[in-house]
Amino acid sequence: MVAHVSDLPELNFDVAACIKQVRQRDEDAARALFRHLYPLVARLVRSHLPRRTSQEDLVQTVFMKLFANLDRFSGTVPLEHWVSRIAINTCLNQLAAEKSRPELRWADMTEEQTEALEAVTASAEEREPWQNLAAREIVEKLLAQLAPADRLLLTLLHLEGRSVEEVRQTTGWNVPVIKVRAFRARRKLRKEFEKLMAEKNV
Amino acid sequence: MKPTDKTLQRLLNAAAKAPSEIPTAPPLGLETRVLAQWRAAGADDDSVSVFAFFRHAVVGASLVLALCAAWSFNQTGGSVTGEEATRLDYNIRMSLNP
Repeated sequence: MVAHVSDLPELNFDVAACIKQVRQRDEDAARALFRHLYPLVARLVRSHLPRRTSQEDLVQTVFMKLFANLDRFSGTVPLEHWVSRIAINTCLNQLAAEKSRPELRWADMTEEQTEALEAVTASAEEREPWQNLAAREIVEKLLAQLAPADRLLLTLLHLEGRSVEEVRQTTGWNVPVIKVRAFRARRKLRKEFEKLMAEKNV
Repeated sequence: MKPTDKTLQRLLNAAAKAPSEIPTAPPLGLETRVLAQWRAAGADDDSVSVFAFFRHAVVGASLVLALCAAWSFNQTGGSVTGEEATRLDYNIRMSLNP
């Protein structure tokens, strides 16, 4: 069973009461909190998943950190922001642990991906969903060549369409840092993209 | 804007439009594992609190022991002084006797 991101929040879920019960070691409340937050955590982990890490393992790690630090949650920020920050920092640490960043070569791409790339870059027309999916795969491979923080930032800004303010809330970085880092990351991405396109033209 | 920037932007726009569907239900066993770890962490917390209780108990007992020793020392010291005074008093009385 799958749902779109917009379907995620459960409107009748009482977060404060649930957290209170979890702190009192109520297992049913812990289960309810897990089920409530799972879609959000799974989406974040999937968006920022390191290549060699299983999504399930990373989701489990995020939840363990979340439960271990639940006493520190003051309630001054929405729970979702707090959880997002834990999930993103966990992914970032995992990405930083992966030393190798394989280069994307034109020859490594599937026929579908090359066809989609040519179509997408040729004009700004609306594309078929499969072409968008192929474009997503290519962008993820290009991003995998960047430093973890750069990859995270470009994913949040360009793929998830988050605003600078939202990125600030999620990462804890200040606005000038985000803007400068985004500019530099974008420049690095363009360089990788140019290398890829140069291979095509050879 | 450079031509490469334009094409890169198109690629990013297309990638952003890719449907992002996520499972609403966790995979089988994940919930059980997370809750088991949560329970285990709680048991660790309990053992930590029991350890803390015993540590406080030991500190308390040591304090009581020290107070008792001090009190006992004072009592013993007092009685020594008292015996000394009694002995001196006895000596004075004996010396005053004809």
